[in-house]
Amino acid sequence: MSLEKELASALSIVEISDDSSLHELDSLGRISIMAYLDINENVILEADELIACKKVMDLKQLIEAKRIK
Amino acid sequence: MIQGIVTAVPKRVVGNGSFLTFDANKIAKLTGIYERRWVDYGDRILDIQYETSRQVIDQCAISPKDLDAIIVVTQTPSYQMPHTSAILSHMLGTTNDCLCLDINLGCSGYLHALFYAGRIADEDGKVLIVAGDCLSTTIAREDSATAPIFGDAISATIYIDDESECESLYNIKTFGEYWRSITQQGYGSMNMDGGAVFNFIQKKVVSSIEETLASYDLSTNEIDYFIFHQANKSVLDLLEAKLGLKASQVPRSYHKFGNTSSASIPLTLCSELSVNALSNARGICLVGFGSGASFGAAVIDPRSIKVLKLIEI
Repeated sequence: MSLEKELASALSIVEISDDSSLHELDSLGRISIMAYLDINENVILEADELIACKKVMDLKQLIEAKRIK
Repeated sequence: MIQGIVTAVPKRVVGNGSFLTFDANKIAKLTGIYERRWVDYGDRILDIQYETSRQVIDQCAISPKDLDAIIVVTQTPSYQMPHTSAILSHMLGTTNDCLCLDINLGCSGYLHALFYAGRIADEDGKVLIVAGDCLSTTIAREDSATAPIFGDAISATIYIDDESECESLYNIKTFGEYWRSITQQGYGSMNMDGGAVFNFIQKKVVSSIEETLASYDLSTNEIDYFIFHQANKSVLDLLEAKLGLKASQVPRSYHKFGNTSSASIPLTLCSELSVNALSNARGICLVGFGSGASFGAAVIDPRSIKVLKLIEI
């Protein structure tokens, strides 16, 4: 599945839309995204990195950077 | 080897709708937890520890005077001083030679206690392990990272040293660099950095389970059940996927009881499995992980377990 689709699936779990601020996420929401991306994308997000993402675009760039590594 | 386990949960059921500041459906969706048991105000944790201990001693048909040791695992003792195991030894009526030891551990504590029991017990000796917490007494009701997650439960286990049985295989570790992820200072509320805990599980727990199996030349197919600490749905989904396990290998109890700290492994055995089911199992792997970034895993022969009982108090 493309990153866009995976990201959309991850965000749908926590009911966050593409244009929302990720600061709306609480601890449980962040863990759900971290679990989804590790299981489906093999990407481990650092908790601090996820907290630092303000928008969905920031998260997308972070995941892409980790995929290249 | 484990002879019997009795696990007690409070009668009071707290559903997701009981939280005024959280969305009930969202809690269920993100954590997989629909309800948990909490003690009532005024309930004494020591009384639950005593009653659960008394019942497992009765069910296993032994005498308190047979006990070589009592190991209590708790982070919510009724008394900060003295150690709970000393009080229980008096209440149960053990001999004065019964070794009394308290361990300040949370979700990995059951594994650490089993490990110690195996080293304390003389040949044919018996050890009572009392593991569990009433964390509802330490959490802030408005804290979304802890309040919907934790439930109360106390387990009591009779461990018997039997040289004729296969040796249980243990892997006990502590990754102290993550210690700040779960803390409670003094008599304040518990503080949990869920993301940091999850990173600890991703980076250390998965590989430590793989290491446990590899070091004893075991594959996941040779283990009938993996009894994981019941942290929440995200964590168990991750462990199941990363280890390539079948859903039938991973019993889950968090949906009914939440995360019950060091009682969650014995609680899952009592609520989701039966003596009959275990009598046909080749091996089970118990895995605990939690505060202090501590980890414990054991592969045990479950056929020694003759008592599994869940009670309400």
